[in-house]
Amino acid sequence: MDNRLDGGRFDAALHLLDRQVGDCDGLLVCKVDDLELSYYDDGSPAAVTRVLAGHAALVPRMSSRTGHWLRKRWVSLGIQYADRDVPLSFPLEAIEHLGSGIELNVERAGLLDRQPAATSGVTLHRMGELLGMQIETEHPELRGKVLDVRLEATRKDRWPMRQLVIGPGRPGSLLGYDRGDFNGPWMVQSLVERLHRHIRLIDCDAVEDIDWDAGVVRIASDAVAEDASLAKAPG
Amino acid sequence: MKKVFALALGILTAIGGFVDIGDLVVNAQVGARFGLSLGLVVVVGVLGICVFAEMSGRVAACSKRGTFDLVRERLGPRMGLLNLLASLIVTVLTFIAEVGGVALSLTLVSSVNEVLVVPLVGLLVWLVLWRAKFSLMENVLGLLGLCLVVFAVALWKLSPAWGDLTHQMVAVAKPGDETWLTYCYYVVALFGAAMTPYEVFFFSSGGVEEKWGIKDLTTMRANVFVGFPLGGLLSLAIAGCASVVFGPANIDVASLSQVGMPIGVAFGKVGIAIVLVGFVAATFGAACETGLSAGYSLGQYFGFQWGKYVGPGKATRFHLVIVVCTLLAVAVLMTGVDPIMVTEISVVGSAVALPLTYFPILVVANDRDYMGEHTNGMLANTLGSVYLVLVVVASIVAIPLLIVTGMGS
Repeated sequence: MDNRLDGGRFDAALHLLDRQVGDCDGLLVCKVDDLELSYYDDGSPAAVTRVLAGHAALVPRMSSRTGHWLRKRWVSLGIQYADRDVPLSFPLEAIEHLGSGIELNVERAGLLDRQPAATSGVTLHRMGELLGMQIETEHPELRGKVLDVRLEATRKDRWPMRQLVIGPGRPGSLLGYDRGDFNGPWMVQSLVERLHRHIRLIDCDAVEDIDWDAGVVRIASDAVAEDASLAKAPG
Repeated sequence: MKKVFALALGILTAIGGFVDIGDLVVNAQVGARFGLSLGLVVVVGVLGICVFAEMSGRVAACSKRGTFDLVRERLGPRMGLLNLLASLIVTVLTFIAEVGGVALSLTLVSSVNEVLVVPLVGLLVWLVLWRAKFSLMENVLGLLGLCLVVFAVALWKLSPAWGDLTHQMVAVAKPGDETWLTYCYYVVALFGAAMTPYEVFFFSSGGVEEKWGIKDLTTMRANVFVGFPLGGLLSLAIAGCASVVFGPANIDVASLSQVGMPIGVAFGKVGIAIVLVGFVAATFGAACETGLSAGYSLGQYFGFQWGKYVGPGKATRFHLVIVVCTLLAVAVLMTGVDPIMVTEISVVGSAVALPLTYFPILVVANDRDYMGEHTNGMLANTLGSVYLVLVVVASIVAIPLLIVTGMGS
């Protein structure tokens, strides 16, 4: 299929997370277990900056948001390792093509290294933390959770977050029926459409504050809520 | 001949689904107890596996993605892990049973106790999975497995009352001495066996191993529509033979040697020789199918290199999984456990794995992202939706029926 990096927008959970990564020789490397998010103090838009992989990236995604039970158990199994909680990663520059999988422009040998610590002026988070966060707002149409994040590949080294896909946290948000991407069998499509009739898209500028510990995103009451369909999205 | 070899993947996949060690015995049991009154279930199951194997093969040809890739991408890591655990229960338990099945088949030839044969079989299976080329493995085992066609010929030779058999198949009725609950248990068991999840793991990953592309869609479909119906036919023929030979005498089938007996009645020694080759090939083939499937599903969930299309040195974790599975199989079988019993327990895993495997396939087969212009048509979607409902129903009732009927006894 076409390379999504050639312009246009795509969704982090729907098109990127859990996809297979292959190297320049076609050999398999890992899965996209999570994505590194960089928040910049200088005011530039927050962006996806690295692909995270390995158990330290995957286990927290399976763990419950509050309490992190599974993650704590995982760390306690190797409490003596300083990097137990630090996932493996590679930079976005290594990605050549983003289709149904990810193709790299480098060899896999020695590719994955521990995620580097944040440089000054940057705060690091993970996509897996942001997804599923509760929405708090006075806006009448918006409720539920962060279901997905729409990205734009404007630069080689970072993909800024443009919009949040918001809706009641119901199953089926990974199926894409709610994004207007394709036509599925009638039975599944109508069911998912019904479950997701309250799904909305809001601009990342409308986000007032993110409480990473409590898992809450506060959104301005005057945010413009759009239809979440990708086909109608700009670009 | 090249065209016949091109169908080997479909045939080998179907052998693992319809005539592996558990099914060989269950088919004969069902035949002896119910005649062909459950035959319709096999036909329904064949159509179901054809629908989903075609979809998974199409996804593999269009996007180079094996089925478990789709499971994790569409269900997310949590539900994907649940499916991984459930389907590993099915796949690894079946693998253990098949290694035991090869040993049982060899015991029929050599009269050496099967526990003594098990380590040798484990070694052989591992050597084939490690060293043999994928195409060589599927060609040899697929073709030798066809020896089981002798059951179809034997049924014809035994000249049963064809009218009665046909009537049994078409009518929904049970023999008077069986209860409806047991009947339902075998309906679900046969349907589940026809649609076991490792068939699509193996078939789709096999498509990637054979480097199928969009130009190979016709070959893929030929594999589906020859392989699986052939598997279903073998399954019906075994039941038919057992029904003719054991049914009137009210003999219950419990062992592999009994399964082959109708062939002896029809053809004597030569028939027995052919059927033994068929047993060894079918169980060995099923062992390879399930052993590889365990590696495929783990590799496709965690993202490490899988497959025999690269050398073992480039897919080390994949081959480590196979080594561990083989050691586990040998260890379990050395306790002297009955392999046929082991396959019956695996139904529990099927109940969870079936819907969680077929649902993502149906979703992705409609996704232009993966499929380009080759998304599902009306027919595939309608049949896919109907079978998804059937699969869900089967998976809900499977475990209660298993307990209530005491495994259909």
